[in-house]
Amino acid sequence: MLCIILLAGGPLLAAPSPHIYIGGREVPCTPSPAVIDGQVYVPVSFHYEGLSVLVRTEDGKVVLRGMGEAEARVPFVMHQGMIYYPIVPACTGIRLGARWVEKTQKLYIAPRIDSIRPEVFDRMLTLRITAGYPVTPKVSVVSDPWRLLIEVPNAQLFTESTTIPIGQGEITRIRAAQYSYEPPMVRIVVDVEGRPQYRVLSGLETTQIRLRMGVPEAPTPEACTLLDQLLDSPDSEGAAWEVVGVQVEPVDEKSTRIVVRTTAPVDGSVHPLSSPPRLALDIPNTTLRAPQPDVPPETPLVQGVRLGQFTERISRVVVDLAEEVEYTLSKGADPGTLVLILRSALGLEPVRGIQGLKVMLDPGHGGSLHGTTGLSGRREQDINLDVALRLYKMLEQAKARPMMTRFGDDTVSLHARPAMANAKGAHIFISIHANSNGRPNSARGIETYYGHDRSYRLARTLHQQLVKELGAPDRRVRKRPGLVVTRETKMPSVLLEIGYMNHREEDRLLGLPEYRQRVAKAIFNGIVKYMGGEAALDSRNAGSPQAEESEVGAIELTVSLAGEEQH
Amino acid sequence: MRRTTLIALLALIAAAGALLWWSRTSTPPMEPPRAETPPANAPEGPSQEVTLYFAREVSSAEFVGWVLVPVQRPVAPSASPEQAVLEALAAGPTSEERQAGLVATLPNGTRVLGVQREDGVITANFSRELQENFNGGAEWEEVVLYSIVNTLVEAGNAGSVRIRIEGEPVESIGGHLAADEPLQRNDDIVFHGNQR
Repeated sequence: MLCIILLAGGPLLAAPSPHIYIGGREVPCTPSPAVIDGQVYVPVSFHYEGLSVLVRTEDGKVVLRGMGEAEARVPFVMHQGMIYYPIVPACTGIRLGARWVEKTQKLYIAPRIDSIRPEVFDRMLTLRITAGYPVTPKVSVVSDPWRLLIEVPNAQLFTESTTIPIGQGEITRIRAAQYSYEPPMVRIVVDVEGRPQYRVLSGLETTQIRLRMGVPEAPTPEACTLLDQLLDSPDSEGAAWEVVGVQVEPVDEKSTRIVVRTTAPVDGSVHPLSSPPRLALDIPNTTLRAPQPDVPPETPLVQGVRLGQFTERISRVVVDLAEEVEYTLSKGADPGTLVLILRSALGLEPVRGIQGLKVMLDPGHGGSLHGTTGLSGRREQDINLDVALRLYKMLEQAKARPMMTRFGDDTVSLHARPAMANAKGAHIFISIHANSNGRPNSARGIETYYGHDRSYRLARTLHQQLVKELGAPDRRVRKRPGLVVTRETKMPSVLLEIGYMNHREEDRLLGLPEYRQRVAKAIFNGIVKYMGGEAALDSRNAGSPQAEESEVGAIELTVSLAGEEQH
Repeated sequence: MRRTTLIALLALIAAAGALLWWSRTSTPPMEPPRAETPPANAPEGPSQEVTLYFAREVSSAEFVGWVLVPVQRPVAPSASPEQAVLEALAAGPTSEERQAGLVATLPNGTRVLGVQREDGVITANFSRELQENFNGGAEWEEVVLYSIVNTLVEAGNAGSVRIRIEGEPVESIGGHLAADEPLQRNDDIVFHGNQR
């Protein structure tokens, strides 16, 4: 302190005097600012134009008072008979950004953005941006890639730039940076996968920017409307009631009950969400006080239950589903309870025959992810796709709802396939492959793989039908927990190996369109049987080019059709 | 399940098949070949016995399919024993072992680019042929994958094995099983001979 006073009495370096900018405009300062020991000092008379800052001296310090209760105390020096104080620490103390650029001798002052706080719950991001002084943000959506851009003019970020990784749902991360000082502009970018929707919850001019955003899971009007409702949900001080308990109770093999206890009778609303399939139960006007519930092992339909404070006034119970469900929400007999009952959609509404049955067909491999190559040089991925397309047509004609993981020779990752079936709420999943092993001509026949016990009946039914209709050797139904497509699917699922491409005879058969039609038909008939249908479908209805029936053995058939081989 | 099937199978095979096969071949196939000459550039020192897993086809009333058969091999001491073991696996079974029905598991041309070990996880880096020349269905992929994993876990006394191709992680070798996370030993497909 002493030495500064002594020094301050001496002559200053003959440096150009600093220019001070507030909100991007240069403001006059007389007497002129001084640089002492690399710090910028201003006279106590300096006026913070456009900002409400009061400056006074007290007990040998300069005291600055800014917005709210913000106060800064800094020591002063005497310089050319005047009281001077260091402006950067002073501003920092009253939530103003002050950046000194020595090279250009410019000092930039602007309201400081003190913090950026993201909160993510169930794919909805609430962003709170706090500034020391009112700011006026501009929010817009930018494409390629999709992002939300928040521009805050006349502000300084607490740091030059920062990145906050999020990585939840479609929300990747938040980047913030001082875009420019002249004029002062802070840019905050939320990187998202997909077109975001948002609401600014705060006023036009505010010290706390609050906004909420999300990306609709599918670009359907329903998804957008749902998101709109969530974005519009009230968000003000404290909720009136509390959620005090959530209980998960299996009822029977095909239904589960979830009981939510609240401190007062309240209504809830249920939103079905996909990828992964789940239900969100929102309880408005409540604060969450309940512990995470236990989900008893073997609870049907339910993978897990998560709780969260969705907004300040909405508690959310998220039920991760193992399969598609029907649900009803009602008030329980006890006042202050909500009862959500889940029932298997498949069990509740038996698909009549296979009408309406959602079947995800998965032609194995494809694109650059090549499968095996047959002795004849045919590619497995093409055989798989051809059989799947034939089956697709049959299912379509039978008014089922077939879907495909690929329709062409596309590269689809292994994990994406079960994810598609889960997202679409498929009732059953059938992966179609052709086989090969380490020794040519050693094996032929049908192998059927499954991963979970729930898939056994489907596996056995399709397998028996294939063996019977094709007259092919039975190489067993096999449980293999490690296969990705049957392990990750949440509905009954199988992987069919429809024949050996490194067996000369079977490879030749698989090269015949008529044989592939019979394979598709056998799978189709298997599905019908699995769904409780007795009679296999008439081949004319199933799109077969001829009335050839399943009693014809493979060899006899190929003899009669050998001349029509295509590949 | 599979294990019980295998045990039941053992009773049959061990009694009938294995006996037949022992009587047919002068050298028991599970024994190391006697006149193996070590590679010319091998360091001096006593060679070490390691276990390699090759494939063998089995067909009985109880079980149809492929199993992994453990085979003992002398491997010369080397700076990277795990790499030496993998190279022996890539070389495939001896002609005697082939006569006894054992089949090589690694696809043609597969080279071992490197093996590293960190905290009980062995990372094995293979050339692209492991994926490009793989030619098989779900079962054969299991055989190939676990011949690598079981061999390495045993030789390196490791917990799990991570597969890399040309240094990069790979989602799957053959499009049926995941290979993008460390894999643990799988005993369900191992044929234990007449030991039990």
